[in-house]
Amino acid sequence: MVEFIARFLRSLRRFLQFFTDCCRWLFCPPFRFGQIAEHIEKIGLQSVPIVALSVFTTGMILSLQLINIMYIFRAETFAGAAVAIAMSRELAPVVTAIVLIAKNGSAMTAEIGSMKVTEQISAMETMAVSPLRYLVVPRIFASILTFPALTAIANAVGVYGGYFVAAHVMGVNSVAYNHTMFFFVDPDDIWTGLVKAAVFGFIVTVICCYHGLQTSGGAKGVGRRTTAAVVLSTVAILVADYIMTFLFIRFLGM
Amino acid sequence: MNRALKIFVFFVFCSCCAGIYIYKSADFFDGGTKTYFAIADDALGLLRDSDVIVSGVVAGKLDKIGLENGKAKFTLKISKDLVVYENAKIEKVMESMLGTYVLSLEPGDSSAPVLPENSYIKNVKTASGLSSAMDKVAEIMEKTDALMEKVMERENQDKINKIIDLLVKTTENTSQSIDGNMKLLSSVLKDMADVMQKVNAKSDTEMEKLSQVLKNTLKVTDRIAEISDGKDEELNKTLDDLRNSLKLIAEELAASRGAMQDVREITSNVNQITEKVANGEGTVGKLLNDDKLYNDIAKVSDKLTDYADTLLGMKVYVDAHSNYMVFDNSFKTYFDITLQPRADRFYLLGVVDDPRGNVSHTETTRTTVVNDTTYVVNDDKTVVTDNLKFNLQIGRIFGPVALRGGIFQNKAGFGLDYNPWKYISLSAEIFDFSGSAAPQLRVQGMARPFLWTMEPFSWLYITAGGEDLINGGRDLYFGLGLRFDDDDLKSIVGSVPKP
Repeated sequence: MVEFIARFLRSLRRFLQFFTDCCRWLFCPPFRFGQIAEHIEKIGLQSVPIVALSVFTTGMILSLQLINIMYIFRAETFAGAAVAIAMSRELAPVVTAIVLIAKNGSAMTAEIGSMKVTEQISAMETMAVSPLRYLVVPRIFASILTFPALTAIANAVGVYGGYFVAAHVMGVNSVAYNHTMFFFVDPDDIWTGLVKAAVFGFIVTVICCYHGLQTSGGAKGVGRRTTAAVVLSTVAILVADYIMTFLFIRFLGM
Repeated sequence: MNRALKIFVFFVFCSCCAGIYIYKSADFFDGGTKTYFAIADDALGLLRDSDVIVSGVVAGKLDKIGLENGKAKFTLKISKDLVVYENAKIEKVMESMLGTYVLSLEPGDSSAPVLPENSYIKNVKTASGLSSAMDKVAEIMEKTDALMEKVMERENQDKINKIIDLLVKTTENTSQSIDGNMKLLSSVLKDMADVMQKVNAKSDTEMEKLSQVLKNTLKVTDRIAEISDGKDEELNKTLDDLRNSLKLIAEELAASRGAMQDVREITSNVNQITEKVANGEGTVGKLLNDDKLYNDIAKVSDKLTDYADTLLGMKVYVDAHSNYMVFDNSFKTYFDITLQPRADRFYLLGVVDDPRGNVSHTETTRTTVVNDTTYVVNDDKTVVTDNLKFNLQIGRIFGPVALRGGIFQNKAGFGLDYNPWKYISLSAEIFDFSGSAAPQLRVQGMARPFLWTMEPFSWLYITAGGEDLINGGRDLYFGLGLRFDDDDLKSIVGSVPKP
């Protein structure tokens, strides 16, 4: 037990050291724009279809459930407002982040982990190239930019998914549905969702890259670290989401 | 596709998604909003962002609901185009049967001064419409219940029964008296007719008969007196009881008569007002009745419209700005005129003073023989023709997004403008597809941080961006400009003294 706690504290210290290094190097030039662009393409552009499909179905399911419940009160047009608010505040950033963890977070850990076990990282350090600045910081920049961008697309697609089910499947009055949706949704709802997404991008990348750099034990170790990174990132974004929601409600009243 | 271009398109697409969504949910008002406050007794059913309507048209939003001295305080964002006077009224009205409310604003009229921004609207009515009617019904029901309770009390019931008995007896007695006396009255009238005949005849015998008639009349009078003497006491008592009962009923009814009194007063006031209006008294009366005044106003209005129409005929924006090119260490100056005949279409004419001019490269290859050795020489000639370039573009506006196409600095191209907020504008232009090099990509951000201030500072704006970003001749810039529209032009033209 004591050994477990000591190991946990050692890992925590290493993670905090890594976290502060990342924060520091984010503001130190030179910024490797080529690397950043490459990762934006990987994380952002190549993830658009899978993110869009995920949130489209999420919006459809949410709309279907809400319309069935609200039909009891003959208030099915209000489902539009509920879908849009839920989507912009919570679902779009969280679902996008989870999809990106599965697709890109795991890839980051596996890629860096493989480099670690094949001693490419050591080679870089030997050549006085900081792996953190070369491998991690560009990924963090790319994630901070692409997570909100994909969340913006997710918002639009998710809301359209809800609208599609409401107007074309359930026969809800489309004009009333849109009216209530835009009446209740506030720009602040969308902004807070985008801010959350940027924070998620930072958290996911830091956790996944940290696990990649800590990999040891060959291919088995890569697999173990990848699983741990995905699980920890998913839990971390849910906890961070709760904390940010609490802060937004407490201090910004939204 | 080039990676940079793909990323650019990706972010533009994401920005459009977010921008359009935010724009649609933001309920912007053209020309901005101004803030007013109102204090109300009841904010029940009102939500943040509830509509403020004027004659059924949305003219603002309820920005905030708070508390001030134990009452609800509304912060209203009203469209800047709407003039609100000090006699403005605001009322909470039911929007739907779901219990949601909106605020109905009567902006008042010019008989009162204009209400400055950040002031309080004093006439506030929060209990209205269906709820008000329900309150009145409840009030009437309460009074009716009280009246019925009093009526149903045993003491009052006895009184009412007594009144009814007395009324029945009185009616019977009166009927009997009238029957008895009607016969006498008939006899008297017959006698009177005879007397009149005798008087006409003027004979002594007839005079005797007249004497007899008078005696009979006296008898009738005595008889009536007898009847009256016998019944006086009973009749007086009955009448007293009746009077008391009626007084009691009158008192009860008086309590529920307040509302009717109010209605009567209102009706009386309305009658007075309509009389005054009909007589041509007061401003409204004069406007309605004085044909000359109406014609004068109509003429002035027509002249003003003609003046504004002939002055410009369309929305015109004049723009002049100069950018400092960081790498080239020079200034590039633009002068544009945008003509906007319709809300969704515009034409842009402009001149650009570019210190770099039109740069064209000519590469020639020649062979030279030196000492029996043949050399191939490439001559690269760069020609800078002229500094002045022209813009001629046509654009369509789709909400916050505008698409432009036409001539960009003497080259064909197209552009995209995105205005997420009135203070900020983002533009991207791509043009010059002629050469072997990639087309020129120009990206610009424009901020109007002084738009909220007084003129001429509100005309100022700052720019920053990059030119020719894809090719080697890329440059970054920042600059300062002036932009004003036809309203500003009108005021400038209007302020020029006439010769």
